[in-house]
Amino acid sequence: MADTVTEAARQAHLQSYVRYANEVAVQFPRLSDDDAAVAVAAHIRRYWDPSIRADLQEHLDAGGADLLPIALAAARLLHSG
Amino acid sequence: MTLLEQPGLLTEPDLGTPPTPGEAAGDTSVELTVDGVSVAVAPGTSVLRAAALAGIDVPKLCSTDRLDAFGSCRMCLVEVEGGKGTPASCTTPAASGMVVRTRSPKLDRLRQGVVELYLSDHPADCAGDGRCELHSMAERVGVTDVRYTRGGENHLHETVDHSNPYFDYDPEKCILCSLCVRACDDIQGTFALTIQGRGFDSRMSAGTAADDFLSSECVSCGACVQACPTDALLERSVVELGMPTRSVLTTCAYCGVGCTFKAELGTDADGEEHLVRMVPYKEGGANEGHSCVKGRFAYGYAAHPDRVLKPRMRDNIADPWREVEWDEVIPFVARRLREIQAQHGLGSIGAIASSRCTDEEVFVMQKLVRAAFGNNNIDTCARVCHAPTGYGLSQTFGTSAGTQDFASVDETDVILVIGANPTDAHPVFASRMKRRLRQGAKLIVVDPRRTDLVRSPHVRADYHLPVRPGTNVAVVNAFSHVVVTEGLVDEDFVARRCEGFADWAAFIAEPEHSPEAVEEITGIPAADLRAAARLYATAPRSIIYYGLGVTEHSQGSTMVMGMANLAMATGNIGRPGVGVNPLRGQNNVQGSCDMGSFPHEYPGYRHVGGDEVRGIYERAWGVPLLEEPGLRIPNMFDAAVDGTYRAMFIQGEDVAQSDPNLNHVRAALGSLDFLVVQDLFENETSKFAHVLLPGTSFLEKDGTFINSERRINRVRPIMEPRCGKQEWEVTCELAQAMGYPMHYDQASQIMDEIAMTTPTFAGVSFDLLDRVGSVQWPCNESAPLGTPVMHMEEFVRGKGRFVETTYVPTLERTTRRFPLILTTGRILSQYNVGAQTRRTDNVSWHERDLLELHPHDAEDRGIRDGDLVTLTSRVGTTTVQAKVAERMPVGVCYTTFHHPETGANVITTELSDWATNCPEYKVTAVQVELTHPHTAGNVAVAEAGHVPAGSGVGVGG
Repeated sequence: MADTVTEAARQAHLQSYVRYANEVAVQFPRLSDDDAAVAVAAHIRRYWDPSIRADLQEHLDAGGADLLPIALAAARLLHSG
Repeated sequence: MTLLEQPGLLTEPDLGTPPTPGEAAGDTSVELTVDGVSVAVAPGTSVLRAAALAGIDVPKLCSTDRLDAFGSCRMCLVEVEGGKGTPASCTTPAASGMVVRTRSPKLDRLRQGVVELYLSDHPADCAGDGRCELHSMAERVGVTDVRYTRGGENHLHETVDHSNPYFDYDPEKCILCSLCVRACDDIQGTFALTIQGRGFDSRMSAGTAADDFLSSECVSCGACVQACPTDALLERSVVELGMPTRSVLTTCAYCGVGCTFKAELGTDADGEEHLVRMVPYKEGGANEGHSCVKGRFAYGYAAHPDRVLKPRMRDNIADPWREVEWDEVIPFVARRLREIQAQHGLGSIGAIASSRCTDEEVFVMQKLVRAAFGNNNIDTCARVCHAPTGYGLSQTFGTSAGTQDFASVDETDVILVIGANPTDAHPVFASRMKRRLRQGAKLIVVDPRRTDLVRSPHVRADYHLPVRPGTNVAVVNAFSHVVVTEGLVDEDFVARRCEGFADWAAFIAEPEHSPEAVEEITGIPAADLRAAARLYATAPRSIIYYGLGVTEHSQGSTMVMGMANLAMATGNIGRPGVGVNPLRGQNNVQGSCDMGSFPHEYPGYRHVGGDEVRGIYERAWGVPLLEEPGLRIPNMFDAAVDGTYRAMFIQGEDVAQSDPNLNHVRAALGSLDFLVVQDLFENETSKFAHVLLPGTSFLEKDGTFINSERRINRVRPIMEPRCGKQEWEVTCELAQAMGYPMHYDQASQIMDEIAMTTPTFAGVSFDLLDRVGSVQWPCNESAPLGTPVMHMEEFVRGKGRFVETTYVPTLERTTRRFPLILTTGRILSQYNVGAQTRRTDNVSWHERDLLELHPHDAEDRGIRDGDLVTLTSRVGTTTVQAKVAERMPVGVCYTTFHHPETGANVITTELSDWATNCPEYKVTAVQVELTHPHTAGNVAVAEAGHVPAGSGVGVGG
């Protein structure tokens, strides 16, 4: 039961970061997708705690469900350094 | 001797009439002689002021240098050689060559006669403690007997008005000098007082004849009480405690205006010292002698019996508290935090600093986290209010603060207020703003509600743009679209001072940003928006003020950048009377941000990733520091629920009442292994705490607050900390118990460390502040007395940067199930979560939160004024009393969050600003329904205006 609760909390936690990443991703519609991904990655790198970036990476590794394309591209950029 | 060094009660000189503009500019072209003393003054200076400048104190009762001359009391009469009669010196302008006498047998006789007449209709027993200036004046001019008996018709034995909780009005002591009326009109700008009747029937009256002070429009700012020369208007605390005998200069702990007060103290018969009253200080840089009901009167919470005065501990949050000593609790907290770090990692603990604490307290708190905890998990309650200001202004101008001093409003031509309600939330500054508006400045208000500023006595907005909540960015883009497409750009300013203009101008000129294109989105008629934009852009000096109605949105940061774009495009930056200015909510939001309480930056807004800056702190603090940002508050809550974040130290912030989506916050707090709360009172958050540490009120603190205009003000204690320790001492002792050496002998040493490590504070010290009163940062070698207006020659970042600000609608949408938009805010008499103001007589004005909604929305739902209604969003439900209000637009409702039983933040959602995660408090889709059908009982409740017990928070999905 405890594991179920923890896993549910974990998923809710990850969903928060997916939402945060998507909210950043939609702010750059005037940029090309590539440039927007760079801008989103730079923002996340500058302001987000590394543990959250690791969570995003974990989510990316699991397929990156619900991440908008630009957020997904940004997550990949973060992973590649 | 400075005023600060004056022993006893601090008295400020009063020169009788205000200075002229020429005096401030150093003009002394008018030379005259007063009682044989030569004096040179500026043109337009009154003879009364000229005499005062020559060191001659002319008797007066109805004049003050804070109000224009009135010429009523006939005490300041003088003789002018070659002139006729005995003119009032307050209304007589000085002229070159004038020879003035302020004393002569004739003048003495006239003054004695006037005083005798006043005393003939004035109680003889009001002279106690020397409070009544009339009696002091009688003594001064030599009146010992009154020839006129009091047996005839008089005003004695009139009824005293005790309705105001803080001061009384005794009409029999009134001499009808009109100082109170003029103070209400000219200083406060409320126009609540008047002289009613004629001749012998004249009376000072609050409101109409049927009103008393409490029922009138009076906002209880205290200006009339301060101005009254007799005991007619008098603080009740003075009646109860007697006249004070010494003063301590300090700074108010309410809003971000940062008013300087004289805390006036007296000693009772048992030798115990009491705070008798708080009197605004004329030399206060932010308030210049004015105050509001909170700062002036609502300080009683500091002595409230609810205060937590000893540390408390418990093993489980369901257990009762156990009071302990400091030497037990500090080692215990240190041990638990280290145990949790040992088990779950360095990053499993963190802290929230308080915007109500001093700079020094916040500085050591972030130092505790970075140096002793060994992580960057420090955040501040500014996260939930002005974090977007920090981001937006930093991106565009290069630093995270407002551009102007408050005095700039005196020089502006157009005031653009966006998402701010200064008459309620920043009342002392609002009075200054209203004074400028009465002088003729134009006003544009962008706000969903028709706030008081839109229409109040002698103030009317030229344009009220009732923006649909959540569409601010579309509005500011439309403003800029008008500027760019109608040729209103300040080309020279843009070319010299800015970068990125061409791309931004192309973006903003696109037709989708036109007022006509966004009218459907914003709800603002295009013609009004165009006209308002032209007004802003074409005035010689236009200034922007904004509040949480800008920042607490999913695009809060974008909106801040949008306003910066608008100001730069029109050249409204870098000189007096222009600029972009956040009105900060809490007393030290600016300071707490300046002090490095965000997880990604050190004091002075320098990123933790910068090697050079990090090196400064590593050398100063003697430990390696992390180069990556830490967790923000919402991250902390998410991680707590997740189980990766296990312990927290929360100082002076009731997150379980003030933060959004409270059910989630409570779940997070309940998940922690260990929670330490430090506060003045038990609160909603301390219900989840294992340790509750007492804190200090502003009357006990020693340090500095920084206000909305970057002004660093001293906070001086009037007493020792009631809990035995300053908060910075507790923080240092905790660091030491955790094995990190951190010690200061006094608060000034903390400021010295701030100055040593932060370039914008390099010149700041307690010595400097004690000498000059206050300074505005940057204060350093280039600006030894501070910087009232920023970005004068160049922006902090060099060139001002235009940023494209695409409008992205919020994800929070109205639906058939939740058809209304809820927005939240503050009212004048209450403050934040109400922890302080609810423990004062300010509840006389606001004993519960109300839900305001438009008559149309109320009628649709069968709701009448005073009904109990259920307020539901997709995350929660609560119950609140309805107030049907014409000032609300259709489709929008509004409430405050001052009372925990309302639980307004049970309703607000998890959505937040994209850049900073500042919550979107201002946009929540809700439904409002009658809690009970209209029954006789409910109608009775509505009519009585009472909410039944137990009608508070309900938790729903």
